[in-house]
Amino acid sequence: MSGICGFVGPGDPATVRAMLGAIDYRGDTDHVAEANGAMLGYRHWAGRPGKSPGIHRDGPHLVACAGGFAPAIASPAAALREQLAQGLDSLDGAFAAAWWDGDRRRLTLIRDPFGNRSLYWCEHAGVFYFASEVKQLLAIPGLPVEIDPAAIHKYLTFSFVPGEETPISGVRRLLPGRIARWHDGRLESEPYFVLREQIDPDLGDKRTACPLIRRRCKEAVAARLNGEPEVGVFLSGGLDSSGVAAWLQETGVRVRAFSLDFGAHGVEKEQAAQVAAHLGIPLEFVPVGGADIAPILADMVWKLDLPFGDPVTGPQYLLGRAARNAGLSAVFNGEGGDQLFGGWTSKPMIAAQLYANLYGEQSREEIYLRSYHRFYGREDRLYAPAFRERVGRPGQRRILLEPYLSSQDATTFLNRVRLADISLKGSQNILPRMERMANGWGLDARTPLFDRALAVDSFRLPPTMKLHGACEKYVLKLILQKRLPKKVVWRRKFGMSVPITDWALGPLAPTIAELLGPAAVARRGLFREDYVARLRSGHNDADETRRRRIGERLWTLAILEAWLRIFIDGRGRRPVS
Amino acid sequence: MKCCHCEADSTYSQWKDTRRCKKCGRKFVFFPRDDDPFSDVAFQKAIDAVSAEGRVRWGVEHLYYALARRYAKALERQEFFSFLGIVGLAVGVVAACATFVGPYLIPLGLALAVMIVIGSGFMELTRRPVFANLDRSRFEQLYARWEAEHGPPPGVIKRRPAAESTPEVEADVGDYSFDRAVICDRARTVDLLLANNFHFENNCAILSVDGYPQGPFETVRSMLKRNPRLAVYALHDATPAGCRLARTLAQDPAWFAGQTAVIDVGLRPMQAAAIQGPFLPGREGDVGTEPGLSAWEATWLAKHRLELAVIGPEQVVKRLFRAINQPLTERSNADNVIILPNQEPPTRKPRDSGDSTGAGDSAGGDGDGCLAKDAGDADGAFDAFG
Repeated sequence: MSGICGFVGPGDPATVRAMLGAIDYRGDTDHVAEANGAMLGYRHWAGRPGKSPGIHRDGPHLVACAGGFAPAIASPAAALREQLAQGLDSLDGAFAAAWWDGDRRRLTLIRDPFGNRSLYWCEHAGVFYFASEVKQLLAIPGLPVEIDPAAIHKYLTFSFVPGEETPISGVRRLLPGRIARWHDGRLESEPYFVLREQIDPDLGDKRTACPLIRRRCKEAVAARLNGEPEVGVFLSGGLDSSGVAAWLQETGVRVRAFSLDFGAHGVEKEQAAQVAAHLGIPLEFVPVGGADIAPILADMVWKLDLPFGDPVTGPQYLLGRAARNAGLSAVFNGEGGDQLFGGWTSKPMIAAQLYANLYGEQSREEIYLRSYHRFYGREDRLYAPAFRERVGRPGQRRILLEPYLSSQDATTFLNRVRLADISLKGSQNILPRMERMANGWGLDARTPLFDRALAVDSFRLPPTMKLHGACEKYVLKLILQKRLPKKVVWRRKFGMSVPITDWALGPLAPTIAELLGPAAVARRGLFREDYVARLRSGHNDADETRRRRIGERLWTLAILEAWLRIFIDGRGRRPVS
Repeated sequence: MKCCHCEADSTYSQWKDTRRCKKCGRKFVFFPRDDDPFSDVAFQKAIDAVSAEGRVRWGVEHLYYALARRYAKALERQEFFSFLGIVGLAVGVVAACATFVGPYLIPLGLALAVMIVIGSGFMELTRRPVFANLDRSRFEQLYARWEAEHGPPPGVIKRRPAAESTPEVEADVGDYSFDRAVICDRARTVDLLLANNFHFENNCAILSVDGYPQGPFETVRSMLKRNPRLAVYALHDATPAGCRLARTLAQDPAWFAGQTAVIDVGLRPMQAAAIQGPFLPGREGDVGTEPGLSAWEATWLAKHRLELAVIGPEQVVKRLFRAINQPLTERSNADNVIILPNQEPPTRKPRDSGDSTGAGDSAGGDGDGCLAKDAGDADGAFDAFG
């Protein structure tokens, strides 16, 4: 919920109005304030607890804050300057804020530690603009809107665009956990939150570790309750969302669970029902099939704001709609457990590391890039020669990973991979897409496992408390085994397996054909028609064993094309359904 | 003779002096006129097939079997046409005689007899096990000549020296474990799986029973002890030693004795018999009745062997993926070995040529997961992980 925007310099006040209008689904109330060379805008749902009631003005100072802090306070915008003055050692929540200091003519931008809320910026015609969403910046009159091939290249590797770039040339992003200052025509940013491994050997004893992590988890959940009488929880039937449901229930708030029903393709439906019954919370199954996705695709892509190529977004959109229809304003989820506590994604990395270099040099970064299972290493097959020439220098994807996978802030392999997973997959993919799918329905997404204190303590745990032999998220399992059905806790991870290949080759095939047919591919000029046609006909690559990759790759391409049509061809305007 | 680079067809007079393509001027490597068993084009096609156009890593042994299969088929054709020649001669002789006996009855009977003879001859040729007649040392010479001219073909697996292949990793890596382990009877099978990232895609340890790859071997083997729910798969040739692998692993304390059962994914003789070959000859006396080996298997192994490398690299990876992801309902036997339910007596047809690249999706859901069956180009239903 809510969003901000603004500019510094000789901008047109009508532009801020237009930027707020571009995110009409983020609230019912606009507030605009101007002070000595800058203008800020804020859109929000009036009357919701824990959110700023408007732009805070204090003399020459203006503060706009989207989202809120954890624990919640009445007006994050009013409290921000004091928080900044006190230091940022414990600042947490889901927020993106801007503070204009009219005396010093300095703009400060800040995002929450893990990137629940986003901030983008650009410069145009001598004016510095910022906004919660890219589509707001595209409302700036005369702003050139051209794709950045290097960012598209990264999207095709990760299924999202990591780093400071966006797919639009000149539009950049403030990274999570950073604070930036615009002054004298320059933007300088620095991290205020960095996760560092500080292993405490005492926490190798589960009698010490379990109480600490249990307490942190409960505090993290409680800190994200803003006084709503009832909240929702997206319950997958896996460990993390089940744990969040259990801890929510302990706070005394009324909880309603929503779970996906993929019909015959369902993987964890039975577990979700077991957990809800065990906790005694009402559960609504939301049926999702391929035919449900086509009608929502354009609106979903528009609300995602950036291309996110994971097929989970469609089901998340439908979950959000169900929660909204149930009259809720906030939904909790279990995202973050895998990233903090060493989920199954660590294991392939470990396997690859042990056998690296047997047949040739293979860097850790290259292995990690492959783990996204999109088009890394398949560029020659997919990219049209002209696009290939424009994607930029080699090594630009690896360099994004080096700060984590070779981090000096960690000494263990597991924690280095955790840092990469948190900073990239978590902060730049899972959290923003979850926030946008919830916000698309006026819901506040609460992700308690991405909690600052919990994350810090997760890096104090000896790594074997996370990955214990081959048992993932060991400490979470230990603390939840008495709160949840044991079969749910100790069962092997399946993950939310969206049956995307069956959809893409079945009910979604006409939509995919429209987006990725020969004429569309030729018109866009990015890809080789023969490779895309082969995928569309359901043929896997010779070096690919899993059928699900056909659908994942098709979906990644289809989302990109849909995004390009809305955001490049249509300058981010709401698509006509 | 066709050039494998530019596809120009040079006549004998055009290449005999230069031994080069008339169009692009590149050197030919093989000369069937000089008794080489293959042309450059055939050799290149075999490389393209085993490497799936350069997308799959492969071993030289796969190329050997791809070429041995072609060689055997060529011999088979030659044999069949010789047989046809003999039949034709016989027909001619009888027809000549018939002109002196009667005009109708004998030609009709003769035609019927000819059809029966040709048909049964053809059936006999297709039923007969195909043995690898291409001499290995001759193949190695051919490969060396090819590599000297063209360099290593795309995707061929080349090991780095052992010193370079020992990974430098953080100490905690050895503290974890794997979900699965595939233990092979040959180092080259380990190479095939690792080079094609099977370990990465399936969180799977891959080792040979005799200690390969040497660098990480002990670390990996000790990691396997840390997962009481480890799923272990034995992957091997259809040889006496290969068929003993699962039992050895299940009973050896250095491996999995007392820890977990071992699933034998093959090749067992029953699976091997469903593959068209080329086989290697067995050795009488090498194998008799012994625990873990049925009488039928012992008899088969006395006559044949079949190396896993007969199956194309892409299919080995895909079939193994299917095998380790199928729902397992069998219980282990007294030896703590699980034999998959694909061990019914072999049927003659359809046979698998082992190098199918497959066009469609294999459903993968018929519950057999047999290494002898084409896995198509995708895995079907069992893709819930990763």
